[in-house]
Amino acid sequence: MSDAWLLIYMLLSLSSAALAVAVAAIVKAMRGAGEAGERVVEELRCPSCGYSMRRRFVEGDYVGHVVDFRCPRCGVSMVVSRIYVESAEPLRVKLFTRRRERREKHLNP
Amino acid sequence: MSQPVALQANATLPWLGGGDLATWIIAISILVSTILSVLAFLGIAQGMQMRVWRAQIESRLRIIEGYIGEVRDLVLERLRRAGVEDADKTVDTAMEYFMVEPVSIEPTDIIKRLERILRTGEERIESLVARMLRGRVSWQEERNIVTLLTILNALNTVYKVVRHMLLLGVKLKNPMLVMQAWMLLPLYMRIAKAYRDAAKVIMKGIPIGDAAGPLAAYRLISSLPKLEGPTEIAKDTVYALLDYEGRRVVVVKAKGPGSTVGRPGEAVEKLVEMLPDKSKIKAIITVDAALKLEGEKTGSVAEGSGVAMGDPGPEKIRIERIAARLGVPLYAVAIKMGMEEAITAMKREVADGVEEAVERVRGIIRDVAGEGDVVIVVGVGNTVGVAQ
Ligand SMILES: [Zn+2]
Repeated sequence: MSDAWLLIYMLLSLSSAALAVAVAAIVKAMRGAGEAGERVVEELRCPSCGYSMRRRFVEGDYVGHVVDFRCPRCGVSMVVSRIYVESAEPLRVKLFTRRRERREKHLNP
Repeated sequence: MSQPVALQANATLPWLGGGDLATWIIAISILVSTILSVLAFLGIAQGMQMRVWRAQIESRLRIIEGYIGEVRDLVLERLRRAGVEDADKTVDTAMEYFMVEPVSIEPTDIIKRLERILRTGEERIESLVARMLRGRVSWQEERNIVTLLTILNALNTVYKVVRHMLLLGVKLKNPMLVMQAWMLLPLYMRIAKAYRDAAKVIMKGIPIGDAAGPLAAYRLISSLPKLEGPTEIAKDTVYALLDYEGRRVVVVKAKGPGSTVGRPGEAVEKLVEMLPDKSKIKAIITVDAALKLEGEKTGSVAEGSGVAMGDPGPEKIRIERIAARLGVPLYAVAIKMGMEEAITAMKREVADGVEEAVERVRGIIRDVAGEGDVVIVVGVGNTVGVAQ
């Protein structure tokens, strides 16, 4: 084996190791990005006609709280009926992670 | 000068003069791997590995320390807004507060002793906070601050346990202890992060996953005609008497929207005492958030028997004893979720699960009770962000 070939071989193995580390870092960052982006919403319900709507959570509100917002149909003050978080994933992340999600479907039904 | 043929072929070996770069590299790498394997036999490689583990554990410990600081600042900031300046000492007391388990080799009345210990702890922290605030914030915010202090205590415990394992391993030069701490790190980090997130959510008064039980109780109270209540019957616990197609439904839940689990066992005990005709009680139904196994769907609902309640025992046993004494069936409805989901903001899937759980409860009531019969429904869990 000549010196030149040995050097090329060593350089190649070194650079492929560096590449593997870089790819792992990028994949990890992308997976992490998918977990961010949640928003808290609340559902308002009219106690007299049952009309319901959603809006962004307002601090100080709680389930059963009569809010300062009137039903657009009958004008009665609406009541908070549910508060929960919804994930709002950006589209870009979805494109990258959809395949993985499909693959792991049996793990996360 | 005639040399053997074999040596002539090895004329490139460095120690025989001549030699090219490739031969040098091969020789050095053989030497290095020999040294490394000798080091491994002497335990030095293990020492190096321990140093790597130690560095990683220390960096995670700094993250947990940061979480503790965040939650602490959250509490102190809220107290400062309420006009409390010198809260540090009280917060430290709550952070280091501990409870001693009752003697268990003599089990007689252990549940009563455990209840005493738990209630003493709860009342002590509550009175510390109350004395500090002197009614300057609403009742529900006072309860939220108490819960935040409990979370701070739990975070501090996680921090101290991991640190203890690390320092003990280093002190005794025991790689097994350090490795154990390192291997458990992902789990401890999950727990610590969940506690940190829980503190932020509870501070804002957003319902957590564990509020599924009280939310189911609220949905029943708000959807059926009310005959009585909601009235406080035990500390931080309310009940309402409802009419469901001629059946009388007694719904029990913790008093919201402050962060508290109330005393559902004591409440059921008192309610049963109050009822004149105990033979009319056809069922006691408990609805609670339950820890799912990995792979189970968040928000899925399951039915079972027994008292669905995650308390250490005293509240649960009261309901079990009443049911046993009166021969009343115990039905349980569980809404499944993960550990983090139970203590952070309620997910949409869980909120949908609550709707299904309410339907199941209605189904059980229709099946087991006729007109004039009584059914007790308990929405178990922390009622933060859910009123009645
Ligand atoms: Zn309306």
